[in-house]
Amino acid sequence: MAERRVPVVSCLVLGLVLLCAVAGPWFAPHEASEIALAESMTPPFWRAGGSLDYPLGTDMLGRDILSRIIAGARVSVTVAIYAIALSGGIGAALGISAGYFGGIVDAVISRLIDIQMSIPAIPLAMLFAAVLPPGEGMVITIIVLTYWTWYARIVRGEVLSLRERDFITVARVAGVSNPMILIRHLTPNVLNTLLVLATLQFGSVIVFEAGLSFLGLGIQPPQVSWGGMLADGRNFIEVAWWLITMPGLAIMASCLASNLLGDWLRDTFDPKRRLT
Amino acid sequence: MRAYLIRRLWQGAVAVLGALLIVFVAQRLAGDPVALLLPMDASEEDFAAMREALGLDRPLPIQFLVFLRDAFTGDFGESYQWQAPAMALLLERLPATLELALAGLAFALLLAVPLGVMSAVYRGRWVDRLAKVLALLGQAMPGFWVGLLLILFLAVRLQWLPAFGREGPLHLVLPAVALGWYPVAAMTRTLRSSMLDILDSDYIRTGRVMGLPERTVIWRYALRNAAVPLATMIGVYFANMLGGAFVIEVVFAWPGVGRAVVDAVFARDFPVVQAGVLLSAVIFVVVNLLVDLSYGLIDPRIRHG
Repeated sequence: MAERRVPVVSCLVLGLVLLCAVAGPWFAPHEASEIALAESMTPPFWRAGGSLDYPLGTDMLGRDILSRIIAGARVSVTVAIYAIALSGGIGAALGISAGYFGGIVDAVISRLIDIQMSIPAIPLAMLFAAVLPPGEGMVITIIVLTYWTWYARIVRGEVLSLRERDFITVARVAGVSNPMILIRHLTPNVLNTLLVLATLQFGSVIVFEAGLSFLGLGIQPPQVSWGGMLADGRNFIEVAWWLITMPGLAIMASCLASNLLGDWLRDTFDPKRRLT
Repeated sequence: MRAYLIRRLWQGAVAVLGALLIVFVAQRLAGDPVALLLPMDASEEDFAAMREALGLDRPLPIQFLVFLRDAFTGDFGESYQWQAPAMALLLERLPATLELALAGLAFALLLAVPLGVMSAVYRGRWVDRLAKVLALLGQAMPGFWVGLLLILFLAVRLQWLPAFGREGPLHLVLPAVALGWYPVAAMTRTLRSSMLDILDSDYIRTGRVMGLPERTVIWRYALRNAAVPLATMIGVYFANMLGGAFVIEVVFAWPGVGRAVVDAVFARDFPVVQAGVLLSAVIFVVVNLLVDLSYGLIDPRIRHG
């Protein structure tokens, strides 16, 4: 019966992350960039020397870790939403076209997918990080370039089998135009798949963005990001364990919730898979 | 077999060519290299002369062909920071990265094989549940964070293992675990589901009926066949680990290709960045090609007609 609570808990965690992103500044105990040198390196409240003013402790500049994690949610969610909408939209459009039209369209799009997938994601990200100005826009561009193939490949496969089904043939015989078939008849049938992929991608994007920001190639200070917090904390690993554990837990919780919810959605849409 | 080989080689070549095109386009997006090379007060004539010397005044397709010719001879220009050929610099560091990726792969297999087999044999029992939890955590904990936690607990707190640098086999342990952490989940799941299929098959039942010890049935007869899907994943994961090593090398100050490329990104040292991207794309393509061609050796039933 524990299985049944999985989607509820996942939704709660993701809801909390979204709430922090939207309304964080109203309930965060401190300003994310508020410096209080006298309070620097305060441990979390349950440790000696900790206080409830700074529940998860403070960093080297006395900035409140909890408030910074709440502020970091905003960046993570913004990047994730743009990246998912763009890579999902582009990937799905190309995948549907490749699957439906076949022939030269399919050949070109499939080769593009092959090429993209033959370049490992992280080195490719380095290439664009070297070229584009750093910040949210760059992170979103890199993620879209990496992830559109995910959508395109899977949607193409689904459309290949949908295309042969009677309702598409009937529509075609009845003289429905190609754009109409794509939008009215094919797209609704791949929406479930898109929703599952988007949910799974959310966690993946958060990890990817954190990785780039950790390297210093993603979100730039003074903007707060979980990856950037880990990079700051790394220099104080010997004296302040909370600097690298807390932001990491935020990343892990968001990613875990999105993976679990994505898996659950997939099983719900496709009951056959549940048996395996 | 011959036709298959030719087709795969052709696909590999197209992929490498595509990577070269992407790098070329990125290079042009990076802005005018002449502005970087000339002093601030250079005149218009200096600019024009420099452009001509570098071949930048020629049409783009010609420039791309020149770029291709240089690329095939391994010439990606000189590193701005180190005043040495970019590719040679990276090749010098390649053994360190390969060593790390192989160690990561070894760690992943060491954990995934027993876990995958046991969770299929004891399906639904605690081993299976443990494997499931590990799989979930594996995918949700980014490798670089695992690396930081390993440093915190095993290097700083317990002082069991060294955290930084590359001085001996002990230095390899923590980075290898951090790098191998991620694929464990997928490998375990793949092996578990193929084991489950095979444990149901006739020849396993025959083996049991003949009175072979359960251990032999599982570890010799079932695993050998169940390992095929896992083996096909190994190449992909190995190639991905070479990419993942970029981040892990930074965490552990490992002197490999990845760290050099990350440094180069900060220094705007473009020749090194593009050499690094192409090097990893070529390795990725070659490793996948080798894996595809080796299916026949692992499982003689798969022979490409």
